[in-house]
Amino acid sequence: MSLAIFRVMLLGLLRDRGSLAMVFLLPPLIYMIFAAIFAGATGDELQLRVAILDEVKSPVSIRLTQAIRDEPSLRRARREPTSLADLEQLVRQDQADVGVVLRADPSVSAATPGLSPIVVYGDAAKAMASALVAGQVQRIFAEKLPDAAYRRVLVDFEKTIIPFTAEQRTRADGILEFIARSTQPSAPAGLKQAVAQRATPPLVAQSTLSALNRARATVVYYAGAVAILFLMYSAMHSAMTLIDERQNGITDRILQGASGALPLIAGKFLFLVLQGMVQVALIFLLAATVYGVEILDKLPLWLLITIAAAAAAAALGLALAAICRTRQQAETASTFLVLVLAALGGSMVPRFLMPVGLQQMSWIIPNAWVIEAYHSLLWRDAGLADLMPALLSLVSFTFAMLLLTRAFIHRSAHA
Amino acid sequence: MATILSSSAFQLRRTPAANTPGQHTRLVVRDAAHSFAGRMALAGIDLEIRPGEIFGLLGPNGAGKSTLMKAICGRLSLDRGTIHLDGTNPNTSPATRCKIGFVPQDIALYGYLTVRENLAVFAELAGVPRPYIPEAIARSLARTGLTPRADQLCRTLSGGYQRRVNICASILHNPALLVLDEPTVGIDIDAREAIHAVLLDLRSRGTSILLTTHDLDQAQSLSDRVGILQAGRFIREGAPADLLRQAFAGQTELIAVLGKVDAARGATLRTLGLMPAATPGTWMCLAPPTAIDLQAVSRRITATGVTVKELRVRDPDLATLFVAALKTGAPA
Repeated sequence: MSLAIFRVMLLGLLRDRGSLAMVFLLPPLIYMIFAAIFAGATGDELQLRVAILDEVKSPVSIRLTQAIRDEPSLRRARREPTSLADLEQLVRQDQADVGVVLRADPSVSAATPGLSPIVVYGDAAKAMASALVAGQVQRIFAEKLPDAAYRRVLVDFEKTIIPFTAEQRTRADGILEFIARSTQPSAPAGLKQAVAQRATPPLVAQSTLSALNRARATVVYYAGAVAILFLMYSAMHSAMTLIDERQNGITDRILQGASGALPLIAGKFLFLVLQGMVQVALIFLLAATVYGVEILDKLPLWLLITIAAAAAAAALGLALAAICRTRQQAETASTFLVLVLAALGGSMVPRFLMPVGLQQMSWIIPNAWVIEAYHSLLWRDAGLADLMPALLSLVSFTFAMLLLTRAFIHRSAHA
Repeated sequence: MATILSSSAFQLRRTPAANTPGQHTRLVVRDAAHSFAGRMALAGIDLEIRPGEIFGLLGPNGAGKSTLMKAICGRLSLDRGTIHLDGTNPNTSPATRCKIGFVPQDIALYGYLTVRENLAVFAELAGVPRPYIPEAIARSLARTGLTPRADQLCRTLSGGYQRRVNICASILHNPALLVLDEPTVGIDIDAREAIHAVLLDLRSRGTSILLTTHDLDQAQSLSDRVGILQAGRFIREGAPADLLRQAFAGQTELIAVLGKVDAARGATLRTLGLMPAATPGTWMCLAPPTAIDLQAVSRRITATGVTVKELRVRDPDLATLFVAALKTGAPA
């Protein structure tokens, strides 16, 4: 009997192109957008727009300007600034994320006490951008203009420790000349290699801790976040057929049968769970194919989380539809509920960005359990034992909501 | 499960001999009483319906019709009294509840499914065993004259056809008792006649029918017996012809369709023996046929300042009885 209700729901979905698009097309599309945004938000793929103003026009400043422009991780602003005021204007008007001003020769600036040769201008709303570009400029200076960087160190050394003798200075100049030649594009490969071998490794090296897969944490995070958001949304909207059926007498007809409300609830629940699983599968399929999220080797646990998440969303949708008297009431309540659960549960903004109090509060929300479960599995390689708290919470929530649904359907049927 | 869910039970109930009219009382309601939050909805109802009998349940809104229907369908626990269908209580016995077919007032169908798909769903939910579903659908379609429309989407059918499908979906399991809530509301005369034919055919096959309607012509033409409910109790109950004979023996009904009647003129009309009829703008009075002089009546009404649009004389019908009964209440 539940299969009859399941069939009705399935045919209703298949014969409504609008619903089909909303259920199966919109979630992957939204995920694509979120993933595209947040895939670069970790910083390693940010392509900030940089406006450069060279006020010195020395050989070193010209080389540095060119090196910054050639840097693949940065983009040039739409036009070059003509003055400092113009550069500030570009940044203020968001035509550039950051402005870089070379106001003294970087290799000899230590001769001018208290004045940095390079200044980075940034918008207060993009504080991270200034810091990122400042770091990038220092790296470019050291890597692309090593002769100038060494010269700057030598000037400092002489000034603060001990001056060179004439002979030492001549030798140093010769070496710096040798290093400078190695940076030319036409320099022989052997020369470049010889210089590179003699160079001291940078003071700080980066090593990123991550799981075995190559996908970025935020891409994995938002796969779960978008999945539970749309699970809730679709389940609530599909479950509203319960209200239509109650209002047009179909529920009365069904309740006249021997099994009462059970096949009605079970059939709808089954359909909503399956619909949710397909929906989530589409999102993760996209995550796997486009962003390289590795799911196949974790398929059993992924399936377990997906079933639990789809079941929780389906049960919540049914409970809401059973409680509300009219479709209008249910639509208002579902919009409120989906948005609040998404915001607090971490579907919109990652929970770790929330204030501590809000983070703790979000643990009572199914969205948080689902996101945490997917993220733990796909990013931290969590096992079944690690996932159990989230899974048990989802199963308990599902049972509670189904009991609530049954109670309200029974009450309205006998009112 | 010893219900129609089992194929043997289904086969058994398909035999028309079990539904021969007059053999026994199918539905017995005794002293049914129920109240909602202190408001009495049913105040001690007694009712019997035999196989192959149509009972018209009449009454103004709030009289208790829906509550009585729900109780008979087994969806309501009575505060007092009993309801038995073929000897068992539908409220406590799911198998008995399955012997009832319920036709809701609204079109309780899935618009995006075809007629056949709808029937397949409701046959399964009504407990028709799967192997018998195609046969049950074909039989119900034939009985309701819907076979040519079987593969049409329900939402594309006219209102009259949708009403027929609404009934068709409730007779798939050969119910012993069919309960219909306003089955012909909002449809044209042809569609209404088609539904009447379906109901009369079901009656001839032994199905007991409980029908609620505000269409008193329909109730009179279809029902073997009617009951007029007021404030949760029957104020009249019996065969329409018997009730009319008892109430209006030797009397004729004068119908006057009048222009605007204000309160003062209404009071004057009442002193002339007229009273408002069920149809707005229409007044009536009962009198022996020999006592009615239409020209004299017209003059008297016109003298009160009210325009007379039409005057006619007819035999009192159920509508007359309904209005009169609600005015006078239960007979002493």
